[in-house]
This record gives sequence, C-alpha cells and structure tokens, in this order.
Amino acid sequence: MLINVALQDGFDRDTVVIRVDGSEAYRGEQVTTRTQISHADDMQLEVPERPFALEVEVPDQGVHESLELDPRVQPNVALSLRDGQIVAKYPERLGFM
Amino acid sequence: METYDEELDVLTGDEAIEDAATIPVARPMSGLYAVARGSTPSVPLGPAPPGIHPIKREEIRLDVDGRYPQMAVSGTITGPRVTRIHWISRLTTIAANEWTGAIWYKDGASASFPYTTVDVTAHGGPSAAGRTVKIVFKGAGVPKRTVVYKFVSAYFRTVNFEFDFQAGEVADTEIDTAAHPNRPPSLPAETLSIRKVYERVGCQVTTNAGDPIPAPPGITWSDMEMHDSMQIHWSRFANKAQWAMWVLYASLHESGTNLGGVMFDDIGPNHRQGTALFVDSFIAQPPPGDPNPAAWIDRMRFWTAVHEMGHAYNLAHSWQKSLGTPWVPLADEPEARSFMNYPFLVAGGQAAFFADFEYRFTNQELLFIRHAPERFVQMGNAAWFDHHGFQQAEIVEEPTLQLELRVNREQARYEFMEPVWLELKLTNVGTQPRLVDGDALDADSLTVILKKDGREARQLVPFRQKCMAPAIQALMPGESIYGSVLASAGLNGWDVADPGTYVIQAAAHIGEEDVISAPMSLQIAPPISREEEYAAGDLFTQETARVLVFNGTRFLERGNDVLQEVVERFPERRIAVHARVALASPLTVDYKRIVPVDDGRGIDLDVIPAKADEAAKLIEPALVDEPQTAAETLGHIRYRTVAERLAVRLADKGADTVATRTLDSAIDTLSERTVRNRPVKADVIAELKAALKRVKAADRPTVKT
Repeated sequence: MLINVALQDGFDRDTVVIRVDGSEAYRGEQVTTRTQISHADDMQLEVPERPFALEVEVPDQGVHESLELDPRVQPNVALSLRDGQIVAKYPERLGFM
Repeated sequence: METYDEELDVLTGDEAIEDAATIPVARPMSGLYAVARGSTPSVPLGPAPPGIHPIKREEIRLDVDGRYPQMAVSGTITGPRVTRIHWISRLTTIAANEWTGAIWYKDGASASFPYTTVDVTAHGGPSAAGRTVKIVFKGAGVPKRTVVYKFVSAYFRTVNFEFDFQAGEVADTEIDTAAHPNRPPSLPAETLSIRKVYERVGCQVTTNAGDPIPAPPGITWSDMEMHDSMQIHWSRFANKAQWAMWVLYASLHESGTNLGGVMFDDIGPNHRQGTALFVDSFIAQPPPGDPNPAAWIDRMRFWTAVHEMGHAYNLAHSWQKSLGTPWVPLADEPEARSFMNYPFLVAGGQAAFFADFEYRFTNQELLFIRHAPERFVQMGNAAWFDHHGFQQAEIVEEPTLQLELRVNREQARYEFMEPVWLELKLTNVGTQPRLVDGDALDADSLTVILKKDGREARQLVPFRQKCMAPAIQALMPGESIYGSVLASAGLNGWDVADPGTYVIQAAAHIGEEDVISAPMSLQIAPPISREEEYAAGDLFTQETARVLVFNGTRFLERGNDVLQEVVERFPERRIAVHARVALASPLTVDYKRIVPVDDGRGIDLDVIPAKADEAAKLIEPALVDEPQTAAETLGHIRYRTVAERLAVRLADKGADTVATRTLDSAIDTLSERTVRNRPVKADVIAELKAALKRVKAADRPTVKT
C-alpha cells in the first residue's frame, strides 16, 4: 500500500534518505524547506500493509531516526528536522499553505 | 456624531458627541496617537548618536481596550535621515485610564533612549479628535521625559488589499460563520469578511475592486507566473515597501492539489507583497461524511486566504514561530486555533480545530502586527522570515534625484577575497537645478545596507567620519555626481566577504530628502583552495581593511605584511591588484610620521623619503600589465583616480617612464571599456590626457624603473 510522506521544516540543502524496512525508498539531494509553506519535498512510498520500520537519515548532519509505523492507521507522515533530530507527525492529511 | 466601530469594539469619529449619556459603550482609548512634526518633548531625548536630532515624528500605539487588547503601548521616534527608535512596553492598569509598564523591547538607535519604564495616562475628549495620551518616560539616572500625543486613528496600521481572480473563478471574501455546524457554540453568527478580520487585528483596511485575470481553462500557476501577473495586474504594484498586498484567487498551482495557497512573493528585493490561494486544491476536498461539505469548502477557502495574507504580514506558521529570525524569541504554538496554524495538524485534526476556532490570530501574532517595528511587518519591507531594509525614509512622492548603485562589470560576481568597491551616481532627473552637497556620495554621508542571504541586514559603518562644511553645488538637470565606497569592510568588520549572495542598497541624504537606490545583488565566489581559506583569516581584519581603504600606510605594519603576502602568494588573484595599490601608494610620497621625542615630552616630524622605484615595481603589474582587470576590480572611478594620482606622484619623484605608462594604459583601457552599453564619459578621458600631457611636459630628473 502507499503512504504519503512530507519533508517539512528544517531542511537546508540536505541530502535525505528514507528507507522502508532497510531498503532505500527515497533519496533527495539539496532538500530545502520553503518556509512559508513548510514544505521541502513530498512523496508516496510503497510500504507493506503491516507495521514496518521507516528510517530517515540526513547523513551530512549525522541524523538517523527509525520510526515504527502502521500504515493502516498512519497513512500520512510529516517529517521535520529540528535541533538535530527528526520530528514526526501523523496528520489526518497532508497539505501545504 | 461619534460612531461605534464593531470591528474594533471602539468609538470613532471626529464630531462632538451630542448626548454622551446615550452612548451605550465605554469610550475606548486604544489607537494610534502622534506628536505633530515640529513639536518638542519636555526634555530632549538625551545623549543621542549623530543623526537622531531633531525628532521628525513621534507616534505611539496604545492597545489597552477594544477587541483583543494586548495591554501594550509601543512607540516610534523618527529622526532625520533613516534613524529611528522603536520601543514596546507591557502595561498594567493602575487606575481608570492609567497604566504603567516596563519597556521590554527597543530597536534602532536605542543607545539614545535610556528609558526603562513608562507611565501612561489617557484623557478622553468630547470627540475622538480630542483624545490625548500622556506618557512619562523614566530611566535610572536620567531626567523624566514627558510627551503628550494626540489621537490620530482607532487603528494601528492602514493597509490596502486587492483581490484579483483567475477568469472563471470567484474571489469570495466573505463567509457565514454559522453555516457549518462544527463551530464554537459561542461563535457569533455573522457575515464575516476578510476585511473585518484584519480590521479586528487593528488595521484600517481599504480594498480595490478585483479584476479577472485572463487564463485558459485548466491552467496551473508557477510562482514566477503569479509574480509576473502581480506586476501586470496589481494596480498598486511597486518595487518598494508599502502597506498593500495582492491576493490572487487561482485554480491550481503547478505543483498539484496538495498546495492550498502560497505567499509566493519571495522573489526579488521586495518580498511579501503577493499571495494566492488555489480554490480547486485540497482545500475544496471536504472529509468524507462532513455534515455540510459546501460550508466546509467555503470556510477552508476563507481560512486559506486569511492565512496567506498573514504570511504577507510576515507571520510564520504556528509551529515554526521559533525558527528563522523571529523579531523576539517566540514560542511555538502547535495547538493554536489561529489562522496561522494548519487545521489538520492539531491533535484531533481539522474537526477539533474548527470546533474551537474563533476566526482570529493569537495574541503573539496580534502583538507582532500591531507593535513590531514597521519594517518587520509592512509588505515589501523585511524579507520573508527575516528583516532588513530602509524604514521611515523620507522619500518624496515625485523624486527629482535618482541614485544608482552599480559595479562596473557585466556580472556582479567577485572572487573570494576581492574587495567590493561600489560606484554611486546621483543624477538630477528633474527639470530644475538642484542644490546638492558635493560630498553627498562619500561613505560617511551615505547610508549603505548590506544583506547577506540568510543573515540579518547590517549597516556599513565607514572607518572615516569627516567633519566638513557642505560643499553645496548646483546640479543641473541631467547632470550627475559620482562616488565610490568600499562595501566589504568597515568598523563593523568584513560584512561583505563570506561566499554567498548579497543585496546592497544605499541612500543619499540631500537636505530633508532621502534618495534611495534600487537594491543591487552581488555574489562572492567560494575560495578556490584551502590556502586561500587560511589566508582570508589574516586578510579579513580591521587593520588590513584600513590599509586598503586609506590607500596604504607605512605605520600599520601587520596590515602591510598581510598584503605583501597576498601579492606573493596570490599574484593572479584580484586581491593582488588592491594589495599592490595599497602597498605602492605610500611609497610614492615623502611620508610624514609624528614621533615622540624626549621620553614623550615632545614630538618631532619624521619624514621617510619616497621610494619611487619600489612603488613602480608594485604598480606596473597591476595598472600597466593588467589594466582591464584593474579597471574592473577597482571600478572605473577608483581606477582612474588611483592611476592619475600615482602617476602624478611618480612623475614628481622622477619616475616619468612608469608614470607615462600608467596613464597611457588608463587612457587606452577606459576608452575601450563599455559596460552594459555604457562607455566611459569623454570628460574622464580628456582629463586623463591632460594629466598625461602635464606629466610629459614636466622637467624632472628621471629615475630608471
């Protein structure tokens, strides 16, 4: 099944790697937040229809975070980089304004 | 008759109240008050940096009653040129119409504003026009300062909105607050307009009738297309800060349905003037099972329009208040029921959000819009998420003087370590002669603002402050005066040195008028080697900057050593041209130094003879062998000045050959150069030729060089 993932605040010309159960599912270069819409990038990822591990890595900043997600209850994931840590939110929908 | 303004919850109007006893509401005192130009406070402001006296205008915003009172008073004191003091105090009520509070925020020339507390007393008159506010400013060890302000307006700001729409769409700027059943039980049922929302914020709003913008069906918009449309269709578009914004109701952004709206205007020098909402995006997709989908869509569109306009006021999202460069330390408000929060991001999602949403901004957002320094809030002023620019400048409506800021190269790109010499041109574009100070373009006469991407703006503080009688001259229509300024460094340090993009803007002060240039962008390239990076640490010092700006020294030895090292290690880089000129210049004259004698009881004059041959060896590779590079990196004005001055001095010391070659090169080079279709003025070439003639005619001993 597909989940919606958004990279929101705190990214500034960063390389961002997202893995699903250890397999690379997304790699973004020069990922930069446009602050007035809190948006750096967004994507749909194919994930298993069961709880899985979503890993987020920002190699240049030494940031690595692993999240346990159940796509059936968390179909939307908003990721921000704040104070050297990935902060995840699971809103009812993703949109930018 | 005074009228009741329900948006502010205040009385407004200038006419006398015929029967005060029939007025059903208390008379609020909040609003904008001012001291008229020319009024003098009871005591002067106190010790002030040059430029703050006399006071041109002083105003306060009293915010103690009416709708959403913030219990605050803020003030702005405007001096001549662009100097300004801004202060804010939180107030506590001590009696009816009396408040006191500490001044917790100061901005601008605050060193001349030593006050720490205010006592505020408001007096109502029979009409709004009769209201006054007296403020007693107090500070430790300074005399009290008492100022009485007269009522100006019940609003704190005045702003204009223009709502245009893509052909086929509708700019619906009103909503029925009772249309959707999910709302706070206490929410008044009313027809609420965007105008009303911002009037409740404290802005007096005028609106322009919207026009349809021709667009083919199915079109999506890029940011650049919207920016272009803004320039074409917005009746008030101008490349300047103004209390006005453009709102476009469009179908969809090119990025798709996930973008509900955007303050797209982070392009160019004047940000935050244009916003758009995308009426066919996800904001028109109500959640399944919503009890009134049409009302949900109306509310979401209305909310989005106000939200994007909030960004134009420089408001950030509720959860990112602490990011960027906040005007004061701010707390994130991720659960706020504000126009600046995303409804679907709060706990419980959009249903929980709208169940408590009262169509308002939070108190910290209201405090910002009402009381922050104007340049942070005003559209087109401080860049989005940042603050910079000229504020309170005295710009005349129809200027007859024009200031141009430029560099004499096709692309404003600089090598790492290359000093940035700006050139300025002040032109009389009117039809009548103008009297101007011939020194108006000297660095210490100008205000130059330097803004690097991602950093706060800085004001160039030149090393030298001259004290001179104005050299008034008549500038005839079409005539210009010129100047050049080192932008790289001043008393603040090296503000234009790190690699990156900079925006620079200058203001010349002609009498009471501020003539402001268009902003100019330039880029500093990164270092090309680790060696350069290390050398920059020695170069970017005050001492070296002084050697460069004062055309050399025989005293600041450390600075000279650094420049000598630059010449030896980086002979092909442009900094070497500047270093050679600075090192050579003091060698072309008999250099005088005052030295102490008799154990410091007396002084003597020590004259170090010129070393024309050493000077020539430094100058020739820069000004004769690579004259095009010299003209470009020094700028035409400085190149001509340096070449002529050094040639004449060298000739005086008998180095005729190199003097002649220096002037020949300058004449040939400047005659050939054309930058952006601008040739060098014929007068300049003629003056250089005259200098060459004088050098050749002089009967001097010749030094072999």
